[in-house]
Amino acid sequence: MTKLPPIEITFRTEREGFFPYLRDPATLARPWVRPGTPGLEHRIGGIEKQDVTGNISYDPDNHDHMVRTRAEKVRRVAQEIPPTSNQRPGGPATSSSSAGRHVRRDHGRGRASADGREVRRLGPPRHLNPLPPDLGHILREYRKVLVPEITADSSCGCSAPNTWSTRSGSTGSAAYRSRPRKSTKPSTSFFGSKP
Amino acid sequence: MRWCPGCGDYAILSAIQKTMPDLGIPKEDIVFISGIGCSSRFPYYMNTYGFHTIHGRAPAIATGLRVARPELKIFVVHGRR
Repeated sequence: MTKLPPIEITFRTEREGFFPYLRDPATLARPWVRPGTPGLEHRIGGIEKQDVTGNISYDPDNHDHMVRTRAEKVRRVAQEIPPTSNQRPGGPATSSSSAGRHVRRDHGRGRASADGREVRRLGPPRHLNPLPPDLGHILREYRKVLVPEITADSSCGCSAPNTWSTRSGSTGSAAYRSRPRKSTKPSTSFFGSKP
Repeated sequence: MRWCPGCGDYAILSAIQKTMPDLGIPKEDIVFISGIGCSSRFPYYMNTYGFHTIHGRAPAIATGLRVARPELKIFVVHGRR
């Protein structure tokens, strides 16, 4: 823990002009107040609030506004994401996956390399929602993008970056094909694996 | 307030609201924490700090707040009616 960089937080203490849902115009973030601060008592939680005041609101138009505001707040997080690390840009292919799929992805890269393909690595992406704002630009530099996924299909997706449509299953190339998937039939037992 | 007519939550809220001033605790040092359910709307009806959290996690969040800020007076509200 001591090796982690400190997280700098600015807590609001001024009473004048305080509203719990009055947002920063740049980030749309709400002010943070430490409990114990006099005059700034307020409530947060899961029931929809009136914009700015934070009072409970059942107004449908307010709810619509708040839903869109929260979505926009998340979208603006992208402006704080640092540039994506690109190992060697400009190559003919890259692969991208989340951390748990390193093994499968690297396995696929190895097989592709064995076939004489030049494969570049990108990722794993640290930010998924929102995605890094420069990710699309980087992926468009490659002819093909390989995204290993462990889903119900248990297969890779591969797409041409100009389409951004991802096909599941075989990509038409044995080098890009993942291992045959195991049975996905759910276990009917409540107990663990048999010894 | 939105509880059903005749709900006991009204009586509980009224009793708490009348009792809190007698305790002599500054309201900025009071935090009501709830989970999910009708009774968990309680923090919204108190002019203190409050956090309407998620199902079943009110004790965990209250415990964390207590560890971080032991000087606060923390109340957990939960239960369904």
